[in-house]
Order: sequence, then C-alpha cells, then structure tokens
Amino acid sequence: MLQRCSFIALIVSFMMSICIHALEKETFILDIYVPMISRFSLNLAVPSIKNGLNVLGRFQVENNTRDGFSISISSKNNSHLSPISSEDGEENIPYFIHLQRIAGTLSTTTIENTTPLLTMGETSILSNTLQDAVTNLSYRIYLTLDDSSHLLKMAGSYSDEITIKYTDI
Amino acid sequence: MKSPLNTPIFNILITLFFAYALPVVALGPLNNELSLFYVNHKHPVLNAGQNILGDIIIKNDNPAGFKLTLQSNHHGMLTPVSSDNGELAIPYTLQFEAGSGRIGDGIALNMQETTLHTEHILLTGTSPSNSTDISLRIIAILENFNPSQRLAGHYRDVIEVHYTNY
Repeated sequence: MLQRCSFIALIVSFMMSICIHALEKETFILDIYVPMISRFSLNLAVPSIKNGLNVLGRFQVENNTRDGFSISISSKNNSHLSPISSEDGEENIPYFIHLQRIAGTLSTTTIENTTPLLTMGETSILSNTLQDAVTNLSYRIYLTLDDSSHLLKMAGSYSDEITIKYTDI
Repeated sequence: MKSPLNTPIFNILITLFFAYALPVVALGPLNNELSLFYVNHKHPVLNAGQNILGDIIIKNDNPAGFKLTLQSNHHGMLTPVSSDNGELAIPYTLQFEAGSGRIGDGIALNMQETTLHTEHILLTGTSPSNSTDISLRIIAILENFNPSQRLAGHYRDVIEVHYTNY
C-alpha cells in the first residue's frame, strides 16, 4: 500500500513538474487580410445619335490595390463617324468625347482626363499607379457631334467603334 | 489472488523509475518555488489605434530570478505575405499596462512603448528578494491605418514571448 502510494505521488509530482516548465514560449499572431477589389462596369445608353450632345452611357470603377489601375479610351476611326461607303458623297463626321464624374472623390494620386482626344490613338482617361486610398468613381460619357455640314440630314450610314479598356496593374 | 504490485515486474519498473525519473524530478524547482507563465489571448480584429492582444501572467518565487522577453519575427512590421499588388508593410508598436499584482524587489520591469525593432526585455532579475505575481496587458498600436480605406493585401507578424526561469 505504501509502495503504491509513493509510486502514484511520484508520478503526479513528475507530471506537474513537466506541466509547470512546459510553457516557456507563447506567441501573439497579428494578422490582417483585406480582399482585393477590382471592378469595372460599363452601362451603355444606346442613343439615337444626333447633332450636338449625346449621352453614350456611364462607367464605374472600384479598386483597392496599392499598385492601382488604368482606364483608356480609343476610337477605331480616330474620333469620326465614318460612312460605310462614299458612293453618294458621304464624308466623315467629327465628334469629341468628354466625361463627367458623377460619384466619388478623386484621391491626390489619381490622374483624370475628362476631355480625351481620340484623334491621338489610345488615350488615358483615368489612372492611379500608387494608390493610398480606395478608388470608387463613376463617370457619365458624352459624345458631342459636330455636324456643321448637316451630313446627318443626308443619306448615308455612319459608324465608329469606341473602346474603353480597364487594366488592373 | 496475488496483487500485481507485489510482482517482480512491478519492482523492476519501480527501480527503473527511481533511476531515470527521480533525477529529472529532483532538478525541477521543488524547493518552495513557484514558476508559472501563461497568456490570456484576446484575439482582436486589428484596427487603427489600440488593439489588446492579451494578458501575460507571471508567478515566480525563484530566488535565482527569471526573464521575460518579446520578439517580433518581422521587427515590428505587419509584413505582406505577397507583394503582387504593391503591398507595403504596416508598422506597429507595443504598449504595456500593469494589471493587478506585484513585481518582486530586484526584478526590473520595462513598460516603455517599443517598436520591436529589437528584442524587448519586459521583466528580468537574477536575485529577487521576494516573489512576483503580476498580470501585464500587451497592446498593439496601429497608426496611419484607416480601416475604411484599407488597401488589399494579407499582412502578418508573429510576436514570440519567451519566459526563462533561471
């Protein structure tokens, strides 16, 4: 009996000594995870193009990456509504694009171009390559047609293709 | 029926135990010594400002003293796991608050705010004249970190707390 009690007491004290000295290191884990947001959407108005001001649609961009994004615009016919044929004397009709910011606040590192010249090829309209804040902006796209020659009143079919490209850097 | 505790096998086991286990037991702090170290973690969601990481509890009456240090794996920076989107590390500092209890005479406590660029010795002493029984709150301070304007990324650091009972 005495032998058994001594054995049990020694086992208990041995295990306690292990437990007391086992916790010699602890750790604090500091962890922050922010999921990436990179969204671009384009809503087209599909208007019947007339001389003067036309609303083409609007786009929205949301991005929270530090190395940012860029948005560019280009015209297939260099900012002209071009006739499909010129059999009846049709000519190019020039137009220009401008943007109106309708939501969001520009950060100090955002470069905005609301009057891009589409005669110069692909042109940047919005970019931020070193963000210090989340970007969440919306713009309306206007097309202004300069039909001083009244070509739209004459027979003909005119078209152009405008491309707006969003790149997450 | 013969008791198993009176068999030769049991006697051999007892002998082996005294031969190998007793020296290990005898080397431990059994002479009226108490050495207890653990952490109550708070697991906060990190935000700008103060973040309570947890409380360190120390109970020690070892006449040879003890030491408690903190060390950051990334020298006080929440380091991005990757830099695919240009992520930059986020600096932070640690502050300390003493809770209830006492620090033994001869044990030095350094509660100065630290950037953890190097190891921070929080408690140390080699010949205290009385026991220590203290709770210390660890607080991480994140400045220049606006939760509503967080940029994407996964940022991480590990703080190791080392307790040495002399």
